[in-house]
Amino acid sequence: MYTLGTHFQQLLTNIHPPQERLDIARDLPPLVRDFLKQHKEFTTLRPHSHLVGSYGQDTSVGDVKDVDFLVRVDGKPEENKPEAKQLIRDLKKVLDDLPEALGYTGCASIDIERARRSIHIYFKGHDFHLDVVPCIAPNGFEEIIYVPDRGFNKWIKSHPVGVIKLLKELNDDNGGKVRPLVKLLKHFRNYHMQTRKPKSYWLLALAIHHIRVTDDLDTTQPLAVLFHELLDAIYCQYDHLLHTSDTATPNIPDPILEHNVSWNWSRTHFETFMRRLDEGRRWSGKALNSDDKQDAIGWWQKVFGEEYFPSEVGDVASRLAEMGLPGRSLVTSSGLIVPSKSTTGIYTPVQQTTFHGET
Amino acid sequence: MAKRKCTIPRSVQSISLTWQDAHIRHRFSDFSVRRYKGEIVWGGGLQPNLTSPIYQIEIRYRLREVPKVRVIAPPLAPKAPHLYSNGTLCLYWPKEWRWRQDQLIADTIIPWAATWLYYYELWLDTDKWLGPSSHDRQD
Repeated sequence: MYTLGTHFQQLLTNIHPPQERLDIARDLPPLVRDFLKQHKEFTTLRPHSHLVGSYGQDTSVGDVKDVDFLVRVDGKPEENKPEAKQLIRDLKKVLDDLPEALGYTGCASIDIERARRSIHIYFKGHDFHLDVVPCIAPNGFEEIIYVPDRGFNKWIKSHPVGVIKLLKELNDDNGGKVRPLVKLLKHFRNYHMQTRKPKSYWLLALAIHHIRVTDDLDTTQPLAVLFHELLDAIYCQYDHLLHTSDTATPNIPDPILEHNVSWNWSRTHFETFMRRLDEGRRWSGKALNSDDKQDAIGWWQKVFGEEYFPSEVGDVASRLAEMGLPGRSLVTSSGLIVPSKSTTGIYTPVQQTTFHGET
Repeated sequence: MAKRKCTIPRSVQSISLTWQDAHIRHRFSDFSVRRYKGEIVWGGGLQPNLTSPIYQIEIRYRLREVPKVRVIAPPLAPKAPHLYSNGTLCLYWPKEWRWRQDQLIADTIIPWAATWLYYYELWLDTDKWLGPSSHDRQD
């Protein structure tokens, strides 16, 4: 079996968002945060804002085009104070002044529109979207918060920061493989589905469900095996719906609050996703069962795209070899070879050595 | 064939097995230990990069002998380089460096085992050993 770890490392690099897009995602939200913080007609509470969504989770792939941005306001959600619908209107009115305040005009202008539970800001010059979601956070962002449901004019529970923390914990407890796994699943969706895409949050919830709840994924396996197992597990979880009903769709539980997050998944979109999943699990199974390396690479290229999954990794391997040289590298407590220390954890310098032996 | 020097001089001040164990389990949290008739055996997982499996390794050590490291699971590929004939990992070149019992296994043997696995993973994908190798330097 060829698990092609170096190829998967390069794949992860290839699907990682470009640095200039990450810079925009880093730089634009604070401008909006500061604008709202200083606004006299719209009061926000400390710490004012928090990044959530894929960018906040560090699971973005491809071109980062949008960022979800929580803005904390005062209120009593159980009494619908302030009124959810009205607050969205008020926020929209305030943000209408944003383009002028930021000096964005002409081709670099900003579009602002009201969405279901947020105000959607589109920075045309950067082709970048920011969803500003007002929230009532009685105990801060670290606990359950309340976000507007404009359609029903009420505040509903949400816990996006809890999901970010859960994902970090799962990632740390599973050899750092959970975030890469979620990224691969999102890329697989993006590559095979131009329309009818399941939401990123649903994919994240599915991955977390199979790692934490059903415990049917063995994260000690190589990432290639883990990815195949995830596709297979999701398919097997829901294929009975295809045979027993013409209308049913999955109830994907929220990772923290456990309510059904995929309540608006249409049957036809679900069926399309299942067809893509079935292809993906068969192709990845063939890749793992192949005794020929080039054949295995070919199957993985069908799964992830030729432009993303490399045929040849000589240069990548040389770079990685240089990075891991004893005398320069460090080893973490789980055995990861890294070039430098991160903020936390125990690191042991790898002393110089020369590998020897008869083979 | 490389021959191992299996004994080391008594004159060196040795680090006790208990002290070796304390260092290993402080630095490498997944490792556990068992003792058997003067021999100490550590077992634990090492994952050299984010895409690789967790390799279960075993380190056997008794005072005045060299630590022996073996990969228990998953099985190594046939013809994997830099192994001794008994299947243990060749982590250093005795011409350059010798084990002494005043050395810490947590400072030397385990980081080298992780690095060995790191280069083994690259070897699987490229058929080339890209780490430092005595084979490149022997006449």
